[in-house]
Amino acid sequence: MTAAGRRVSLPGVLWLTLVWVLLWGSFSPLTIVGGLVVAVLILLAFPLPRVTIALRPRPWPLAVLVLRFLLDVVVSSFHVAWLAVRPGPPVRGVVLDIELAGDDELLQTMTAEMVALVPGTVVIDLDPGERLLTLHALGVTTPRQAQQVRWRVLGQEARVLRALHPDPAGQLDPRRGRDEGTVDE
Amino acid sequence: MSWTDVADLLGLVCLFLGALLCLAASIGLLRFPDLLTRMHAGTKPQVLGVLLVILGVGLRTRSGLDVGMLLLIALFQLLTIPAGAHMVGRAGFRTGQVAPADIHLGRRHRRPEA
Repeated sequence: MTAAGRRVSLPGVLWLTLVWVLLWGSFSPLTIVGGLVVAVLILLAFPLPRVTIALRPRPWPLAVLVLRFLLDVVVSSFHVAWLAVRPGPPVRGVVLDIELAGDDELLQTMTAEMVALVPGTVVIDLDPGERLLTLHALGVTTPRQAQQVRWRVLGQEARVLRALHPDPAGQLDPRRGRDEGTVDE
Repeated sequence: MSWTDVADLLGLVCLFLGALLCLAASIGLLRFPDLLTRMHAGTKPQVLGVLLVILGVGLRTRSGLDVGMLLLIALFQLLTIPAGAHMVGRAGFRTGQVAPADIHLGRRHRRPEA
């Protein structure tokens, strides 16, 4: 297979065509053919980096992940909305960093995206090699509150790993980090 | 009351709540003191506000392709808003506009400086 052939994958073309048709809002030969042409051109002009996807979705933990995430989005939206309009001095926050448990970059990214939408945190930086997530926590002033933020983030990550990682038990084993620490020395 | 009336009413409630959340987000942008707290206002109430407005419009239009377009908008909102907030926050962090991390949690070891 040629390099161009590898880039233009069938699922990619179909997805981009669907997006194109939906954006036009009508099924007609013109939008479908136009969508196919645009999809192929996009895939040729903007090749994506190759990502090794080694995910194993599990239905029940995935449902837990999605439902809990939607609930968190609602809770955090009203929380921040209240902080914005409540009377009194403006709210402040702190910057903190947290070591994640898993090393899959795709799942780390998913965790970071979801953490950015759940209560109290905005992601600033993610260092995949060090598994270090830097984030800003709103309304946190004491170390104890910071610990609570840490448990929330690690809980979010655990839900992502349980839903999608092939070996969540191995990733979440608390002894893993320490073993690696001695290897680094 | 028919089902379309119920859907219309629910749609109106969603539109109203969504608009209120977007208003709260913009008030937060004005009132919060620095870059990172403003990113909170720009991400969370904003996302739910837009999702509720989309849901409200979907409940009132109820035509297949339009709902598909609305779902697409919702999906891209959820994907791009955190990434955008992350980019702005990181730019501020790396250019020294924001104080460095003052609480370190769970960094159990530091790699030796190479």
